[in-house]
Amino acid sequence: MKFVLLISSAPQSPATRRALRFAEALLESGHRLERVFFYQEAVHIASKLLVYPQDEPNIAQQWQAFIQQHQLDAVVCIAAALRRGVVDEGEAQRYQLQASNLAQGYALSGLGQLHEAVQQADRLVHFRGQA
Amino acid sequence: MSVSVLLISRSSPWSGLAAREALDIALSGGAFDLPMSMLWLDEGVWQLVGEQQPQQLEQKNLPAQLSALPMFGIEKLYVAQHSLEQRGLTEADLMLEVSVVDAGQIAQLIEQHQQVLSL
Amino acid sequence: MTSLHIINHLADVKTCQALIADTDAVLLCGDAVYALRQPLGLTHRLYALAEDVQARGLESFNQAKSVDYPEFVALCASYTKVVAW
Repeated sequence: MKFVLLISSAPQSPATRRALRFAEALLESGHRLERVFFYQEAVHIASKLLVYPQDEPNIAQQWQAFIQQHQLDAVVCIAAALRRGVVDEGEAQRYQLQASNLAQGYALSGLGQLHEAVQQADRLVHFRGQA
Repeated sequence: MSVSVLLISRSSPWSGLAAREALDIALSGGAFDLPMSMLWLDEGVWQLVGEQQPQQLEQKNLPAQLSALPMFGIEKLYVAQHSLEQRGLTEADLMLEVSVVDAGQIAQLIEQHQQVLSL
Repeated sequence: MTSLHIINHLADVKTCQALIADTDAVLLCGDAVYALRQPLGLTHRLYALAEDVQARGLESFNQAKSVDYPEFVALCASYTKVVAW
């Protein structure tokens, strides 16, 4: 089956780790993961500036490694990202920002990508944090 | 045939970005001509209450944008009756023409739409 | 069309009950599993994410069928759609 994941929980939310474990199990079960769309607070997981204490699981790094290992289509909502200070080089230049921080493997794009994924998926699973 | 989507908005208008980011999904869906319906539930019903002055908080006019939903082709607008009642609100308090739905009707809306998103 | 409802927050367990069709199923995740401590009286098929139940020491409250991640995936596949609260 073609799955699409929508993640809107912050990096430190248990839902973000839960989404990753779900995604891993999904691929192991032989399903396809068509797109992972990061919205609201979840855009922060795509920042390369997250630092985790040494004795804690680095969920950001795990997500990035997972995306790259399986060459997943990991889309970060550009409007949500810009508001929250997650930018790629293009946006950093456009807005004359001092730096960019989008980690490798992620792409900034619009809500059209979410709608397209919702329209084409067999299953859409949304991982969300505190209301 | 397009997949029908029910978007449930549960956050109050001026407590952060959730209400705005739910509306963004609705408006962009409408712009793509997708069959979207919207349901306001729990604290989300506050978005619909009349006479708001967002400029007091230096915020953009969310209520005005909600009024624009039909212009984007999103005309199936619902509000949860129990959420209104719990907050001492009635249909008369709302600034948008929406259908008030009870729990059973909400269950039906969820059943009828092919995807449901809750923000 | 039957749906799997994923409930993440304790408060939602009560509030969502009436909004979910009788033939749908519910999967409790995160703090929502604390609801298992009291009789839920739900008519729906009830599941709970095993790691969340175990982390909170709730194994003795067995109103729900505990599922691991592969079973979580299988549940999503077996219901027509998945609704997250």
